[in-house]
Amino acid sequence: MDYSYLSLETARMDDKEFAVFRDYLCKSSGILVPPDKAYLFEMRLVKVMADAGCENFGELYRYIVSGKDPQITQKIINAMVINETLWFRDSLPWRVLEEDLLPRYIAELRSSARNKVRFWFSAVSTGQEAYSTVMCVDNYLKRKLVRDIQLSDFEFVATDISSRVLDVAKRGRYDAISIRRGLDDAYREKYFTQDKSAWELDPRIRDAVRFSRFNLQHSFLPLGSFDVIFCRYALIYFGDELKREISGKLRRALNRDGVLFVGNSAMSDYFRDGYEHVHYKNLTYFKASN
Amino acid sequence: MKLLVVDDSQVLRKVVRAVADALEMETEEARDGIEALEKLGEIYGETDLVLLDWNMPEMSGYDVLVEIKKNEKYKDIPVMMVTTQGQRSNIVAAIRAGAANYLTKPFTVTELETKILECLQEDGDYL
Repeated sequence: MDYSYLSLETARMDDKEFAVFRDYLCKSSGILVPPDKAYLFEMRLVKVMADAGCENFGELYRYIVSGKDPQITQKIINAMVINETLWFRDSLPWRVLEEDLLPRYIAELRSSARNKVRFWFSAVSTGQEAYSTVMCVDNYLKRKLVRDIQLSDFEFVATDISSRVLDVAKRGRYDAISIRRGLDDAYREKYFTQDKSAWELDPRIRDAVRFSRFNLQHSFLPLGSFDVIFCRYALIYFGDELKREISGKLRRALNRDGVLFVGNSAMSDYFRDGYEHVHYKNLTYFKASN
Repeated sequence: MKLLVVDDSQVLRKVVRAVADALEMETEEARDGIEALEKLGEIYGETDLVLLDWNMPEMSGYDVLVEIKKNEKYKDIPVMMVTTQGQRSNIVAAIRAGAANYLTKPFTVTELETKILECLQEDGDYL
């Protein structure tokens, strides 16, 4: 492909174009890019623009609305949304899981008061949050010598708006740098196999998670309802109205006594109606109130 | 799958090697542009991606990119340029010269990994 038509001048985004692209990204993904981050569009979308054969951002926008490329929105989202994550990030949710939730779930599974425990990781990025949870559950069952309840009694649904990060997540294979971020040696030794400098996750853990692309602006109904939802580090990118809307949809997606980890106490105001606030050490999480 | 990383920084070459290992790719290293072109002359048939730093002594990454794209033998190997954030002119110049993609410093491991996957998937060799 010949890109010689590109020039430094035309690859510049003016204020009006920034406003158009900011609105477009917000409508398509919910993500609000603050004005001081305007350069992110320029830096990240030049390649998308060039691949679309456009000379400038105005032309790229016209190309988008023309509907010529059904994948263009996803390409833009992939270019703009790349969140870094780590293992057992802010460890307290997994303490709550081990100390409070898992003993209760196991008792309910045993008494047939429930037949499944469903988890949803709503912005899972490269997979660490979901895999941390599967390892945590598996490790708990083994440590407590629970033999009548299996990992298959738990269902783990993991979603993200970026198809690119999900490609990495599904592989369950992590580089020597990512593997060190938050994962203690005992978990690594137990659940990973080293191959050169990379670490491969136990396929039993990897295959327990079902990954799919999902936009939090859409209806949550097709996903079903959940006992535990992790919605951490995504809401901060959204505007007030969308935060409130998502709060309501999350509440409706929670089962009776379902638990929601949002990860940022500054978000508490958005989770008043239908939620009970629970404090554990310096973590505040939310429980569906009946 | 083989990746040639060209960077005068040993730390950066090590980071790229770690990510390439995770992607089950072999890595070859070159410390500057001249070594990169020499190495490419030997391994072009088995190289699937070149990761090329812009700022290097002796010969800039851009000059290496132009040389690669001029050479019939290896002009089709995708090249990803690594440049400093804010250098929009570098990005435009790199794409004009035929770079498959670019990465701006500082970058995260996730960005590096997803961009490598993107380059390889666009090239159709890796899914």
